[in-house]
Amino acid sequence: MLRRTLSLDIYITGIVQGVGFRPFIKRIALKKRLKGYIRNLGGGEVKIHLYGDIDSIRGFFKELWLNNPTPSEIYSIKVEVVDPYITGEFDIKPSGTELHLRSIIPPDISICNECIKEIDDPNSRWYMYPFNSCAWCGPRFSMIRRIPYDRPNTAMDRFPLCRECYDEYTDVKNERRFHAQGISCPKCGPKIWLTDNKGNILSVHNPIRTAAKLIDKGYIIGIKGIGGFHIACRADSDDIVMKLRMRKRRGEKPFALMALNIEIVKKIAYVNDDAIKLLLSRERPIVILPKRGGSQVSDLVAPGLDSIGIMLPYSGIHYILLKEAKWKYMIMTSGNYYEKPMETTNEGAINRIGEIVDYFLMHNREIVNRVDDSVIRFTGNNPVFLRRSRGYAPKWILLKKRLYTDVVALGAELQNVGGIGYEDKAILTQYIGDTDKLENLMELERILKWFINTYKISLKDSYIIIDKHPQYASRYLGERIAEQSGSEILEVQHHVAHGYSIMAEYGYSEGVAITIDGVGYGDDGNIWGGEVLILYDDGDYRRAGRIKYYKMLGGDLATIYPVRMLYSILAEALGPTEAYHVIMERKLEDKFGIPIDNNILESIYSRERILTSSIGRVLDAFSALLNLCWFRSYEGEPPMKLEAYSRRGRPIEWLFNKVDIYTEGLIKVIDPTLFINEAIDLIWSREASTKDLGYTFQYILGYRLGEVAAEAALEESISNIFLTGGAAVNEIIYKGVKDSIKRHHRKLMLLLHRMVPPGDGGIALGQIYYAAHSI
Amino acid sequence: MVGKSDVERIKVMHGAGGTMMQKLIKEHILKYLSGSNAEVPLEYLDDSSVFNGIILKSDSYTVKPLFFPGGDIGRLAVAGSVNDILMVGGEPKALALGLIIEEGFRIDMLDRILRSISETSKEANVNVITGDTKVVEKGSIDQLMLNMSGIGLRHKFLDRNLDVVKQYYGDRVYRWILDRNIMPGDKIIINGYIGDHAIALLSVREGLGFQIDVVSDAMPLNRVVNEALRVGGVVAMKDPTRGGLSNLLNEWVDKGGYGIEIYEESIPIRDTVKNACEYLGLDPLMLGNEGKVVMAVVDEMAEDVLKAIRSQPGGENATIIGEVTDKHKYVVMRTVIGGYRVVPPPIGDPVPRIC
Repeated sequence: MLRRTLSLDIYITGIVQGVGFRPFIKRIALKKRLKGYIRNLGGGEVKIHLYGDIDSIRGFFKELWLNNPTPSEIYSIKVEVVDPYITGEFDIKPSGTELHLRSIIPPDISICNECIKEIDDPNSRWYMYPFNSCAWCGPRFSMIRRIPYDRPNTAMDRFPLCRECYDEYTDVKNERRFHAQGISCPKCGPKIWLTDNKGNILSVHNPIRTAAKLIDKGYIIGIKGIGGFHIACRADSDDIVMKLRMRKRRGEKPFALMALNIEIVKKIAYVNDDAIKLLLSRERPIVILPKRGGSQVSDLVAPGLDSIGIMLPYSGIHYILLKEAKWKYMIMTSGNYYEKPMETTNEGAINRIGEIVDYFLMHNREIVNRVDDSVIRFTGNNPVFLRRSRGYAPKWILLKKRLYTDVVALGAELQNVGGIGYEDKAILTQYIGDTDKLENLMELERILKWFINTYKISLKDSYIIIDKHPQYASRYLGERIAEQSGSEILEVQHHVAHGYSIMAEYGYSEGVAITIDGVGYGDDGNIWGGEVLILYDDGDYRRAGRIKYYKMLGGDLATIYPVRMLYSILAEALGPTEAYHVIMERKLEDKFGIPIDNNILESIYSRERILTSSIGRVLDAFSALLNLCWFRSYEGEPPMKLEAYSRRGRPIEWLFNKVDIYTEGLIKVIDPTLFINEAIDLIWSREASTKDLGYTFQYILGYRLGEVAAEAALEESISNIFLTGGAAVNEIIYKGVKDSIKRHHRKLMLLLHRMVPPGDGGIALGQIYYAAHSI
Repeated sequence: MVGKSDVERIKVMHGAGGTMMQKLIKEHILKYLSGSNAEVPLEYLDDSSVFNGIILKSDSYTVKPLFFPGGDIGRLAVAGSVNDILMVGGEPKALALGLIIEEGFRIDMLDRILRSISETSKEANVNVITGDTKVVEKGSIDQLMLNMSGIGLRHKFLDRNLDVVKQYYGDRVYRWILDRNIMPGDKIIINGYIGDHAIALLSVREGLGFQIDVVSDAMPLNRVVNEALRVGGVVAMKDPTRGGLSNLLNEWVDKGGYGIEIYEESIPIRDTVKNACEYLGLDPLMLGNEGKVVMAVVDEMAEDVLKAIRSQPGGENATIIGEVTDKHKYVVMRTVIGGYRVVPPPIGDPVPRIC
């Protein structure tokens, strides 16, 4: 019988290098008796040449789609029918350097169960070996210097394989270790050791076990991990947590925990199936969970909050440490000094966090790229990113609308993320941090330049995209890059970028975006942050609504001292003198950061020119009014505490109309002045519970924003309403928006972020997608 | 889009000494007026220009109120123009005064201002030798505006100063003291407290609601500059007027191609000025000064120059506030607790950044 044969060249891009993809392909090709080869291309993609009969090829693809055990992710696949040119047995060919398509830099993958089994097995070569990894797991992005992802291009180049490892590396039947770039064993791999806080090595038999014992005893340990240093200590003791806060100069910002396994997580937090899935996912993010009442965890871990961030071990180091420690959970917070990025080198850690820790657990594998832990929380059962970093970055995000030119996006400023875009792809950096700090700005510059080289971005034909804010340091960097390379600058308004960010996720080109956050520079020179924007598909937009403008007493100081915003809102409603009386009545006069009296406040108030429509500032004011937060020690603290405090509150319906909407030109203005004024009387007379007031305030703000958005959507015949911006994670606001939109029209859809943070970590994606529409 | 079709108009911020002003100058003024064969031409955007060995400077003055604690518009005008001539290595020789007066302006006030001009000129060892007077209709300007132009000649200590520089940077030849001259390792010196002028003016202009004891620092800097140049080693020099220290340092970084690090704890600032900034949310680095000079000095000479400046009136509180670095190309402030904060150039008013 004559069988029809076929010869194909297949190009696959995605996460296909260094994840055991080639051995897997070889296995199924051999199984289907196909001839040809597979090899990695320079860009990170793979090329497969297949020769065989059609049925076998069909079977091959079936296996590829259905029985793939590797952590690969296929984003695109291109198949060409060619003349057969290889007739030998299917084989893996050495990597090439030709760049066919531009491809992905693989993210870090948490340790797999197979590797953990080996660590636990006393008979295994990898028993208690903290660096155990295989093709299916282990660090990638954090240790890669250049693509393709081959051992000589990573930090593992310093560790030549021993005989046994080499045999496994070259054994095509060993699916987990064949051509797995990161493998090693106790004989040939990196070493771990324990030091005092000055870096002097302590001779101990088992450094990790000793570190665990030290933690049990109450010491604070710096631990070099995958993408940087952590600082670990017991989480159950107020004294120890307080000691850490003092040494780290960390006010009230919550610490993350690491727990050995789901059973332990359940003892300290409430988890549902979605949360468990996330905790166990390859990316192993920190998941913010409801704190379990009565658990052993100190209240000082997350003061004033009802939630707690937990992650599971994602490397052998963490796994062994947690297993050896008495309490199977501990604080595992970023290893950085105040205002500095997380440390990545042994020397840097000794110099800068040596005074925070008592001991260090260090190793000699270089961290090439700093990668902070990712953080995810739930907003009304929907998981949303607070930080998209380890495990996710720098994976691609595919765009529905293609870019005409390559772009480089600088993002915003605080908790910043940058990115590049080309064709139909956006590639965001890992979490960089606040780029008004030199180290972070230089890291953003370094990583963007690396992306630009890796993805062959031709700068002089590209657009450099910056936020409209005139004083972001990231803008300054963007202008420099543009000046040096002769590229064009594109300025994007902050909230417009937020809107395009979420539209990029869903592939839409128009919509109404409720954009709520702390600070963004507006087109009118004011500080925006409580916006309803109509986004049209040509990049044009219209501001349909906003929260009422209030003066920001002392600019940024109004953010640090929330009472300043409270005063400002009261002064708007009652005049400065009466506002001052309320401040005195509530004994808030010492919460301005400076000594004040009526005259001073009045004169500052009258000369202040900065106006803001930020929802963050209004929530700050309310948080201060309820005595929840008078000093912002970390970003979003007052609103987070307000949300946590009032989560179980109930809506007070007769107060709903105290947040009013009026029209100013074409803009609907949401005015909460009356509500705040009324709330003061109710608190004073104890006629309403402060929990209920807090709940009602957030709910009705959301409700009114939803109302303005719904009306704008109906007017413009748009059906999608997007909720974005840092405050979009607030559950109570979200509920208000949702209820209001549902009530307006059943056809209206409310969409939340899924792929990038609603906060400023998502700005770069929005900038890139905006460019796809406007250039 | 908002504002897309609006005609572009001049805003107050275009004159505030920040990035908007830089943009206006580069995109409009230089577009038409650059390209001379002057030794230090317009496009260098230094404090003064040089043609055939003659230093030329023109500056206009408007200030509200005309009289303020520590000075008046007359003193401001002489000090401002004289200082700008000094900053490139010139010795002020003669001034030209342009007066534009609103109809109805009180003559006794004009007398006071002219007397102040005369006194300040003496202090600066220079004379007004020509001028012009215009009176304009009521309402077309606010009271009074001055233009003060001036010429200077090569400073008697300039070559001596440059010889000292040459001992260290022999491979680079400097003829004048220009912004672009900064080199890694140079120490940054300022001759005293920052922000006095801006806060003094603010306190009388708007009323702060609290007592503040600070007077403008407006003064000609001849003696401070003389002594510094006499010792030698000064590479760049500039007065932090509009836009303050942060504008000045950012200009140096842009023109020089190196970074600058300043130390928060060593920047001289009076408690009263600092407090006022905390009340109002102002950044002291962006406050204007009228009697301050910032110098970049060869590292090895910095202590000597500092000592010389301190011996002079107006230099008593001089101090080293930072240095030039080749590790990056930003202006960065090392905070008291060791953080490195990027100092952006001002745009005019401060804009909130944190969320």
